[in-house]
Order: sequence, then C-alpha cells, then structure tokens
Amino acid sequence: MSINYRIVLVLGAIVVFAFVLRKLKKTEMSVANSVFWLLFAVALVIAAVFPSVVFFFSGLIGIESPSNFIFLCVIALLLIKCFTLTVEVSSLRERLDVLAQEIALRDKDRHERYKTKRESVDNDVR
Amino acid sequence: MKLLAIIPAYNEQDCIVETIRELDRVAPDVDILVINDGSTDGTGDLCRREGYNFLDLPVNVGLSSGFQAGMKYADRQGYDCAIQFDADGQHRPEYIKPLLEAMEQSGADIVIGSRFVTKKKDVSARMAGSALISFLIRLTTGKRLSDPTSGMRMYNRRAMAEFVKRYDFGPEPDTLANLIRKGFKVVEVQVEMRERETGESYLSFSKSIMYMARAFVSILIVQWLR
Repeated sequence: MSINYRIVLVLGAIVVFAFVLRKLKKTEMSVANSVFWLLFAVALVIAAVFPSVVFFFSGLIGIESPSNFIFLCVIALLLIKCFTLTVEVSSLRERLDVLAQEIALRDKDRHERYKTKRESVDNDVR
Repeated sequence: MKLLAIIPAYNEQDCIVETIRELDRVAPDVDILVINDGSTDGTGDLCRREGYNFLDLPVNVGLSSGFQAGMKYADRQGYDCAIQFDADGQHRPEYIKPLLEAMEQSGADIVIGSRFVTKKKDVSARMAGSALISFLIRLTTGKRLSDPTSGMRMYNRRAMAEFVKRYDFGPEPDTLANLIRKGFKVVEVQVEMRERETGESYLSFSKSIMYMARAFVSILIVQWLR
C-alpha cells in the first residue's frame, strides 16, 4: 500500500468524521445512527495506519492486492447499510400509512359525533 | 346485507361527482365512502361541498393503504360487505346488485366483477399482462380467474378482516392468490366496464413493468412465506 493511498484513506476518514459531527451538532442525525459512520471512519484510519492488518486479512482469503481487499470491505459494508435502510424505510412507510389512516378515521369519527350532537341540540330547542 | 362502496380517489375532481351521482341513482341502498387520498386538486373540497361521506387522508398513501383505510372504516362501522368502486366511472353501478346476489347465493368471501367470464380478452399488452397473472394464479392455487386485475371486487366480513389486520396487502391480484390459498372462496360475475374518460390511472404506463414485477414476486415467492 503506497503512502499516497494511505493518505487518501485518512483524508476520506476525516471527511466522514466532519460530516457526521456536523450532522450530530445540528441534531440532523441521531447518535445511534452515527455509530455506523464513526466506526466506518475509524476502520479507514486503522487500515491506513496499520497496513499489516489489511495484509493479514487479504492474505487470509487469498486477495493479492490489499487495496482490493479494502474495496471489498467498503462495498460489503455499504450493501449491508443499504439493506438495513430498505428495511427501515419499509417499516417507516408502514407506520406512516397507519398514522395517516388513523388521522382520517378519527377525524371522521369526531366530525360525526359533533354532527349528531348538534342535531340533538337542535331537536331539543325545537 | 349492509354494503359499503369504497371509492378511492386521488385527484379525481373531474369525474367524482358524476360517478357518485350515478351510483346514488342506480344503487340508492348502497352506502358510499370516498377515500380522498391526499389529492392535490379540488377533490377534497368537492367532497366537503357535496356533503359526501368521505375519509380525508392527510397525505397521499397510495391505493393499497387508502383502500385499507376504507376497509377499517367498514369494519368499525359493522358493514357486512364492502365493494371497491372506481372514482373515474369505469365501474357501472347496475352490476353491484348481481355481485351482491352472487355473494349471498354462493357464500363466496370475494366476488369479482369480471370482464371475461363469458367474453374473450382482446389482444393488447394490458391483456397479455392480465393473462400472465391469471396463469400465475392458476399455477400456484389451481384456481382459474379470468379477470384478476379487475378493480371491481366485493368482500365479505371475513375478507375485510384480512385487509384490516395485514399490511402490504392491497386490492391486487397477488392478494387474491394469497386469500385463495388460505381457503377463501372467490367467485367471478360477468360485468361490463367503460373506458376511463378523464384523469390518470393509478397504473400509468411507466409503472406497469413495476406492477408486473411486483405481482410475479408476490405470487411466486412471497405468498409461501405469509
């Protein structure tokens, strides 16, 4: 792994840190959701600072170039993240739909009760 | 039997009034519930002005969830059955009675107003899709449905309960396949439909591919899991 490549990895990690910290500061990202990204950045730094770790694991599964091993890891992590996000979106969508339905149903219920109450008041007056 | 006509409406200001007027005239005993699915046109205002019985969804949730809201209403209000009826005038109210009679006589859980029980399908891309879905349903359930994509379907309380409690369970062919496999009785009755006059179909052309892909996955794979 060339020194330039290692510098790029660290720069990448710094960019990720900066973005995540900014979003955390503005509370546009929850702490729980930031954990993934912070660990991701830490992993990039570890790969840059201790290439021996990368060499060890790439050797273990028979990948000649350690940079390819890093690619593989990053892609795998992104796929996992994408998958969990899809699941999360489905679950949010379900809850959003139920909420919208309940708002409409309760609105209607309240409206009906108001109407029957008014009618009975009108009848009493008569 | 107390019947509710559920009319999903998304931006249907041009045809909703005429559809309901005709429904009121032809089938006066049927209660109507319009589902205003977060329309951005004047549909909601029209419903208020005309004094329709309607649900006002605050955001657009799509046909499946909009229809589910209607089924929840029907269930809570104790209706015996509910029919899905299109806002755009495709469905003809004179066929509601035959559907209801078929439900009472056959004891079916679901009655489909089908265009092709006694008549043949015309040749078009849309009908090729319909035939393909028929084939898939036949393959997985053994049941022959001539018009699985018809939107005019009547459900009894037992079927209603499924729509209320399940999610991702729209008024679509894959749902029929799932219910048939679970032992629900489905009957088809010959009806005629009109070509839609105004508005844009829920199923625009660009969405057809996605619709078919979803139907494939749902009928061939998902129904074995749920």
